[in-house]
Amino acid sequence: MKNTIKTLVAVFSLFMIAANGMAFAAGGRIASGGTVSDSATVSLNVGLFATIVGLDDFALATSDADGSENAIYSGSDAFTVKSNGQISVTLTGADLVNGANVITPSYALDSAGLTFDTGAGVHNSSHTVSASATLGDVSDQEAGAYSGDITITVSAL
Amino acid sequence: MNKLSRKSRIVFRVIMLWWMASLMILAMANIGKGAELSVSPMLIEIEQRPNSEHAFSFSVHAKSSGEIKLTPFGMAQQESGHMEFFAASPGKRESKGPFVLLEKSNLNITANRPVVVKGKVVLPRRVRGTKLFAVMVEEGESESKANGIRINVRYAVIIKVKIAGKHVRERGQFDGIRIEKVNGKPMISGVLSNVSLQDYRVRSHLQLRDGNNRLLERIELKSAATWKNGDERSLVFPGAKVRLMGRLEKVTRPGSYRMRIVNRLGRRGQVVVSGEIEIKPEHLAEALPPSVVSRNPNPVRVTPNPIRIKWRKDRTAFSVLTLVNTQVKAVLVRLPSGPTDGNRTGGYTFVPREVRLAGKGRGRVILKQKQVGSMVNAQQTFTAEVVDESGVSTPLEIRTVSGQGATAHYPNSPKHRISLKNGQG
Repeated sequence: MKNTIKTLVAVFSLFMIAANGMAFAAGGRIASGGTVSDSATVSLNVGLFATIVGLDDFALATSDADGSENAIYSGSDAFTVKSNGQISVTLTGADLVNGANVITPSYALDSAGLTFDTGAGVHNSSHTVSASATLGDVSDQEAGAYSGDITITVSAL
Repeated sequence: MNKLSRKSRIVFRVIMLWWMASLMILAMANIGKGAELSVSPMLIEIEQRPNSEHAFSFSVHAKSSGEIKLTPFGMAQQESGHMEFFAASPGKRESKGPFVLLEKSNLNITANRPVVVKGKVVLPRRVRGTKLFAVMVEEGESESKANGIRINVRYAVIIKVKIAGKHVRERGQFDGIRIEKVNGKPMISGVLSNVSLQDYRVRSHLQLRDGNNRLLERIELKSAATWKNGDERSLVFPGAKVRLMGRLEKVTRPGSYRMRIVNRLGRRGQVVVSGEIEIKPEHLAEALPPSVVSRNPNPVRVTPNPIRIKWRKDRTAFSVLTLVNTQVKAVLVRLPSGPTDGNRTGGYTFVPREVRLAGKGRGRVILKQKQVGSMVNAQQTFTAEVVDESGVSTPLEIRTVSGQGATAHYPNSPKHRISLKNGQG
């Protein structure tokens, strides 16, 4: 009987110590109403995100006589760049090829070079990619369909 | 019953036709648009010890289903500060250098369901500093357009690895200084080479002084990329050579100027370059008339300037000044003369009245002053005239202030007797 009482006292004491320890660990304060309050900091790390929307293949057209000497062909397409931070957009373009015939066009982003950088912060603006090519002499290039590739690279640096 | 069934069939057919038409319209609208990818995060920064591996992942989202291609790329910084991407060499892994391994090089992606791309950076032993990698994300191969321009959009996920270990000191070299005309203004630039193993941001300033050591302009020098994105400091990666440039707004005349460029590299590094630069008429605006363009405001430097005047008891002062020709061509300096009081010369006199200075040469002049009439204060500005070999003249200011430390010499005879070939002397 005496041992049982001792055991009960020991268990009760341990329970009380554990309960106190938990209360301290929670860092809370027992209010008059008997509730425990605590606070926590919520953090969120948002990664750099970027996308190009609405960019389509396009064809070059001319207002001069089609195929005539020094006829200028041009074309463009608009697209939207959305990002939540500073990014760089770079264009690299290849020649227009039709079999063995080659026409070298000039490319531009926003009519000003082959690269643009967004400023610090978020970005959601429309931009333009354009290409133009000038024919040489009538006999310099064969009639037909010419095609070429543009690569637009979006990067964080 | 039959009638009802017939009506139901008609309604069902109409609904099916409408649904198919909608699908066709949607498909036509998406022709050529591609999958419209988006990638996040686009920059992954890792701090890692040598002889270890570090896993990374990023997610790709597409508006339409399809295949995406993933390729490890190398990176190099261009002179403009922009990054250039190139396909990583296949033998990179065997070269015992750091490299990136991807779990898959192609992935099928479903519309509006992000897919996670996984890979790892492998660092061998004995690597230090900063390493850059890129994983290029682009749509799988599609049919080439028969006529016109086909556009391929790719996203570079950059992995920047800072290798933990011994501190790497920021070091750099600055050379290749040149001046060119941009939009009618002289643009000065130089190349900063990052010869250390880690990247750093550079804050660069140029001080430009005229022949009289007067500060004309203090401008910032930045890379083209940094001018575009509006940052204050230019980012330079290890091994890169980046051209830092700035526009001179206040220099309107050609001539020789003294410059000092201070580049602060990261936290502790610094590179300072000083010397003379020659701004030529072709660097300046074409709109200026030739007579103005050919003028040089400071071909001759005056030392000291201002001159400290010490008055004697007899109300006279004698000061010695040195004229320095900063140009390689000879010039003639015509000094002013003071007011006359009857037959007696009063006010001030320069001896000699004219000095011919050889290219980069120098000469001494005595300034004699006498307090007569209203001239009682030593603070004064004299305007001399510098004439070059072509006969173009430029004003030269010589200033005096009162002071105790004045030089007061009066040699018996002037040291310079000059004559000009064209008979102006």
